[in-house]
Amino acid sequence: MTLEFDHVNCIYDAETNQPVKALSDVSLTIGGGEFIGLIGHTGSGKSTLMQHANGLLKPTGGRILADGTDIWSRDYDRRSLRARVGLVFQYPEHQLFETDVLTDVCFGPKNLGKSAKDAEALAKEALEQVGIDKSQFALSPFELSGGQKRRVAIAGVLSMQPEILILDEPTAGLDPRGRKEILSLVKRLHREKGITVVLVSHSMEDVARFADRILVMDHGALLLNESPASIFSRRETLQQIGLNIPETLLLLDELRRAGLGTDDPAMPLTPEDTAEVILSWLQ
Amino acid sequence: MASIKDITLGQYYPTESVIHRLDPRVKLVVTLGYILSLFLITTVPGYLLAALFLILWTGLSRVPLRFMLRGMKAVFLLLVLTIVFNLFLTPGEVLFRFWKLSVTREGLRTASLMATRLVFLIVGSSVMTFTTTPNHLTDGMESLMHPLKRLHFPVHEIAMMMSIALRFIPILMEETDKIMKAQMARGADFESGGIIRRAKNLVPLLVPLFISAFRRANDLAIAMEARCYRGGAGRTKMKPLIYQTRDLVAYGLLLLYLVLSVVIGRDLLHLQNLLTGVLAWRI
Repeated sequence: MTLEFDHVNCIYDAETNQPVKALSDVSLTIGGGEFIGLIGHTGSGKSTLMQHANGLLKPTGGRILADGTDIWSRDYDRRSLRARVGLVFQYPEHQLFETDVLTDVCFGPKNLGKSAKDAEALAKEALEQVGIDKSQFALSPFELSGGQKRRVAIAGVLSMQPEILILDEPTAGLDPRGRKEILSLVKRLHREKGITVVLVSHSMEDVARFADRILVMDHGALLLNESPASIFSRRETLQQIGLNIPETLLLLDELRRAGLGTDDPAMPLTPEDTAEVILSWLQ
Repeated sequence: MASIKDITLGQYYPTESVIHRLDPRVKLVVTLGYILSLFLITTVPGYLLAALFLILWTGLSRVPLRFMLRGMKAVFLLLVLTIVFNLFLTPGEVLFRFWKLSVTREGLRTASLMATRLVFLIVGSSVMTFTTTPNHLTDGMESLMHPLKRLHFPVHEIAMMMSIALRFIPILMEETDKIMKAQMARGADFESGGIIRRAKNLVPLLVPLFISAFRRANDLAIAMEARCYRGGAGRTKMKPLIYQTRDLVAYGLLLLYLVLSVVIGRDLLHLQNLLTGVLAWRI
C-alpha cells in the first residue's frame, strides 16, 4: 500500500496562548517496499508525523491518503488501517501488559477479530521472526531482558501483518549488541517480507546504512527528502540544523581536507569499508 | 481521546500578570477568604460585591475567560443538579406548576443563589491554580502550615508528597496518552462497547501505567537518596517566600472586602440577633 501526506499541518494547543506548530505543510509518499530513514532532532516533529500515518492524530490541515482514500473521510475504517500501518512506539516494551509473552503478542490479531487459533499462529510466527525462542513463550514479559522485551513488543505489532512498518527510535536505550540485533532484525524483515519500513532515528549512522531514501525533519517541516548519497553531500545544511553526516564520511572528509586521499566519491558507511578506503588511499 | 486535554481545572496558565506575581500564600489566603465570604453572604447586594471582587480577581489574572469556562464543563452536571433540586424541592409560596412539579418563590431564590455561589466558588478558586505553579502552591502551603510543626505535624513531608504528586500529574497524563496510542496502534478500542467491556478494555492501559508509575517512583526515590535527601530538618530554600508591597496591599484589600461582605452581605437584623445571642451567652 502507499500512504500519501498531502500538505499536512498539525498544531497542538491551538486554543492556548502557546500554540505549537508540530507539522507545517508536510507532503510525502511512503510505500512500495522502500526502506526509509526519518531523521531529525527531538521536537522536530518526527513522532507527530508517525502518529498521523496510522490515524492516531488528526491533521489540523491537509489530507492523508491511503491508497488514494482520505483516512479521515467519514466511513473510513481506521482500525484496519492501524493493522496495515504498524507503528512501533519508542520504548515499546512499556506497553507489555499480559501474563505471558505469547498472549501479549496475540493482543493485536485478536483486536482485529481473528480467532484464538489464528491469533496464536500469527503470534508464533511473529515471535519467530524476531528471534524469540519457543521456550520463552510462556514466560512473563517482565522476566525478559531489555532487548528481548523490545523484540517481543515489536512482534506484538508484526503479528498484525502490517504492510508498512514504522519504528520510532527502536534502538533507544539499548546496549550496542541490542542495537545491532534490532537493526538487523528490521533489515531482515524488510528484505524477506518486502515490508515498507520507516526507521525513525536521530542517529545518522543507524539510518545511513540501510535506507533507500532519507527524510530530514526540522521544526515541523520536511527539509530534505532524497537518496542517502544526495543527503550526505549536504554537510552544511545538516550541520545548520544540528545534524551531521555519518561519522565514517566525516572522517574521510577531514582526511581529504588534510590533503590525504582523492576526491573519489566513495561513501563507505561501515567502519570496515572506511578502513578499506583509507588503506587504498595510503597505497 | 480529547477528554484528557479538556480538563482545565487545576491547570497552570502561563502569562504575565499581577496575580501571577503575587506570593502564593496571599493567593491561598485570598482564595480561602473568598470562599468563606461566599458562605457568609446572604443578600443580593452582598452577591454583587462578591461578583465585583471576582471580576477584579479574574480580570487582573489575565487568564482568558474562555479558558476558565472550559474548566466549568467538568462541574456542569453538578451545577444543573443543584439548580433542579433547589428549584423544585423547596417548599413555600407556589409561583407556577407544570405536571407534578411546582416552582416556589423560595425555590427560585435558593436555586439562583446556590448556582451563583457555586459558579463564584469554582471560578474564584480556579484563578489560584491558573496563576500559580504547583511548586509555588505547595511552597505556600508549607509556609502557611508551618505553625503546625509544633504539634509534631509532618508539614514538610506532606508538602513534599504533595509537590511530588502534583509534579507527576502531567507526567502520568502524558504516559497515559502514549500507552493509549501504543495500544490503539495494536488495534485496541477504548471508545466503544458497554460499561463492562470498556472496563475490561482498560486493562492494557492500566497495567503498563501502574508499572511505569512504580518505576518512576523508584527512580525518583533513588535520585533523592543519591542527593542525600533526609526530610525537612535543617533544609533551606533556594527561593524563600518573601512578602512584597503588592502582597500586603492584596491582604489589605481582602480584609476590606471581608469587612464589607459582612456589613453588606449579611442580613443586619440577623447579625444583630447573632451578636446579642453571643453576648447573652457570654454573660
